[in-house]
Amino acid sequence: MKRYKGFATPYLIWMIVLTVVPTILMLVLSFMEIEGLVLSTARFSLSAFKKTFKREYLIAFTQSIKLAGLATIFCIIIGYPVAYIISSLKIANRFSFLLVLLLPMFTNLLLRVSTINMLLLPEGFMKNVFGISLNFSGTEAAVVLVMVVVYLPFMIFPIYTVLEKIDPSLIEASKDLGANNFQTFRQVTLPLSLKGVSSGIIMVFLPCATSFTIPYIVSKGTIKLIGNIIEEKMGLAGSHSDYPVGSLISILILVIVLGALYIISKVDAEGETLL
Amino acid sequence: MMLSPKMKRKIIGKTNTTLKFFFLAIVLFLLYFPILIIVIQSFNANELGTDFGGFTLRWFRELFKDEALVQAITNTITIAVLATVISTVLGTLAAIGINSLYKKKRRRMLLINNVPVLNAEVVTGVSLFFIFKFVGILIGNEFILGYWTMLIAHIFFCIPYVVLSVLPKLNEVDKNLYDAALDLGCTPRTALTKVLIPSISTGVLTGMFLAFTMSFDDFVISYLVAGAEVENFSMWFYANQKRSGRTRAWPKAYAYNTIVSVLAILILVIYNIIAARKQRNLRKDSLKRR
Repeated sequence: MKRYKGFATPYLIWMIVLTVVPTILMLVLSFMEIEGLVLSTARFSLSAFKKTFKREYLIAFTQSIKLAGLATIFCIIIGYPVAYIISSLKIANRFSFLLVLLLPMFTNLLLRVSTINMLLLPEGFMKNVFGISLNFSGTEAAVVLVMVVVYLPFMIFPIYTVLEKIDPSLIEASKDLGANNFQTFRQVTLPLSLKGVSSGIIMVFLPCATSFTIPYIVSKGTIKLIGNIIEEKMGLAGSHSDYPVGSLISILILVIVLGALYIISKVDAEGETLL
Repeated sequence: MMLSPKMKRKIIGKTNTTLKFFFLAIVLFLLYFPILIIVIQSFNANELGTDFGGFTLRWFRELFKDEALVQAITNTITIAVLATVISTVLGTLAAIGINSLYKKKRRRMLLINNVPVLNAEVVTGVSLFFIFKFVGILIGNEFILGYWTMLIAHIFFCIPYVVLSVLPKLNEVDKNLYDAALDLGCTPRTALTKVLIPSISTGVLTGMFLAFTMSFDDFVISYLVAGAEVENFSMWFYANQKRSGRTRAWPKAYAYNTIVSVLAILILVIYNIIAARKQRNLRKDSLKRR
């Protein structure tokens, strides 16, 4: 099948044009001062760096890590057992349960976010219909809750994928050798499933930490994560655009993503846990 | 109290099933309660959605009277369909190409393929925004952002998912099968269309399904590359959120979403029935032959 090698080249060029070239553009922009994108006003400057490492943005950055980190931890606590339970079901049930996890994704994400937030209001639908009055709409806890609800399936799927691939004879061997259920889990299943967990962590943490819609919709702008700063700097939040700062922050995030990509390429070269 | 080992096992077994049930229940509740609320709200006569004001179909009618919303839905659907078709074809070809590479090159291709999968959506959106703007400057078109840049962006982030779903199937294909086809007189092209592609069809279907889902629900990337004039459903909803906290747009959005969910469930159920029937027929055939 070596004949089809040629099919890879156009794809490589396409990917380079749409990923590498823009990264270079953003790097160049980070070292510039420019009015909008008018090239004639561009000149070399380090002002983007000065502006980026302001207190306000550093707070947004730590806030992103804190909230996304919490959401990731909750996703592991709930998602791992669920993946484990699904992988122990009968095959037919397994498939339908995976479908059950997939279906919510057909509901528009923004609509789900605003609906969940609405349910957390002290007055409103929950109180009038169910008689339950929650009061943490718009708080950090609400942001974390929404993140967990939205991204939980992204933790379950990769863990399930690796759990399903574990050779059952390994489990039997462990039991034959005298380990009890817990020992078998701790010494055989858990280590073998860690690459699914690492994929899951990356796939939950990164989108949570860089999300700007969830904090915006939940808190109406009072909680600002790093994504909200980018949205502002790209001139989308009704503010004046500042492309150099937007580029620089994007580049910083990209560095973190490349680190994650490196980890993935070590534990899962074929990208099996990414789907 | 001493427990016999048998009793002990029974009790542990019971707590296990309760625990299992508990975890599955949490997940189902978390995932489905908001969706249930959305469905209820779409039939709710109370416009603000703060109480249940009786059953109505009003929102399903008003949904189609709102021009901006209808336009947004049309954009969502046409972009999703076009992006799915194009990225499925290109992604399958790319996967076949990647599969025929040797170790090091293959790894490199997969690495770059996974960039849009893992990359933060904002960053992908920002990079595409800059490259489109840059091309716009080069060709002297300042207002390049719009429907077509949005379509290209969707194709861009859908292809990697197609590649990732097709590659494992290609790995499973017996290399001799392809050579046998050539030996038996197939041209490379017919060997590709009649032998190779049919044997990876489930992977292609999965990829197609993923691509459609991704494109249909996308917000962040579209928001960055579609410019000010064109919007999809998510962008329409977000713009309404920004204009005023509680808006009249909500009930229509709920109604639209209910339609989409019902269609999605129908398609999945039908697909499963067909798949199950196929399997049964296959089994019957093999029994007959025996």
